[in-house]
Amino acid sequence: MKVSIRKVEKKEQEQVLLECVSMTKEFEDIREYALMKGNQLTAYLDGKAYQILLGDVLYFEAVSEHVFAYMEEEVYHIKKRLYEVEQEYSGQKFVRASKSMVINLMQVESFRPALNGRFYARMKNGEDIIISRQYAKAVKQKLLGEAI
Amino acid sequence: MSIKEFLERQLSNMLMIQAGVGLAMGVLGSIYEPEARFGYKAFFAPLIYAFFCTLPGIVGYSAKELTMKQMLIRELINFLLVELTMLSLLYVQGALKSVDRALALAVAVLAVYLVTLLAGWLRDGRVAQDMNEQLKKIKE
Repeated sequence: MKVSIRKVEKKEQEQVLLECVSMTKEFEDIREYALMKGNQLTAYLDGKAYQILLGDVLYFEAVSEHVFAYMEEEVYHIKKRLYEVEQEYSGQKFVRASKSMVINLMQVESFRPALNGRFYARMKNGEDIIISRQYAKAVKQKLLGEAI
Repeated sequence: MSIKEFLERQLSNMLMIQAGVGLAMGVLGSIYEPEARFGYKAFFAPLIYAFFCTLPGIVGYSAKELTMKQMLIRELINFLLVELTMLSLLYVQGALKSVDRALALAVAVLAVYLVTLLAGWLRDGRVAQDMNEQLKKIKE
């Protein structure tokens, strides 16, 4: 089987293209692996590695050099920097809410104003996350861009 | 918050304070000195008061992200400084002629301050509403 790699300019253009005569078991495995890699990430809890679904992550938080993924029930440690999370998952509706947090827009219930140009994002688990004034504009632009 | 964003917000606040001071001057003037007559200089008074009331807003600036508690404390300090600035300016001009008038002016400053906060809150409320509508769209 030939393997080709073609460079693209933007993250959103990245894709895996399978060219096959028929969808064999091997191709099906590759397809499933590629789909899984895009929607899952490796996270750690009590020293064990887990594959967690990106869509289930409420938000990522950086706490003194470590980044944590907050799910409904568990909090996992992930081996990425917050800016990497922001860049890699911006196509999956994740957006920076403050210097230490990246939130999943699909897990936001609603927004409401806080003080002095800040906003609260009410997450699906009932938690309120502060969107700082610095990033409020970016969140709004992201929402507008996604909604169009 | 960048210094540019901070200055933009201060300018917006200054214009709102100016309108509020003009209104407060009209209301209190008609109560305490209904017969008073002014020259053209009086038109500049709200602008001058608004400018001096905006200066203490510098306590609200921080390059770092503030917690909600820190923000509230700075807001309170800002308000106290605005009261002090306004009452000092009015004292210098001889407008604090009695305790009840001083109290009325202090309450007027509080009212203008609250109106400015409320205007900011309503503006942010509209932004939040837009964001909620857009959020609904992307979820659909």
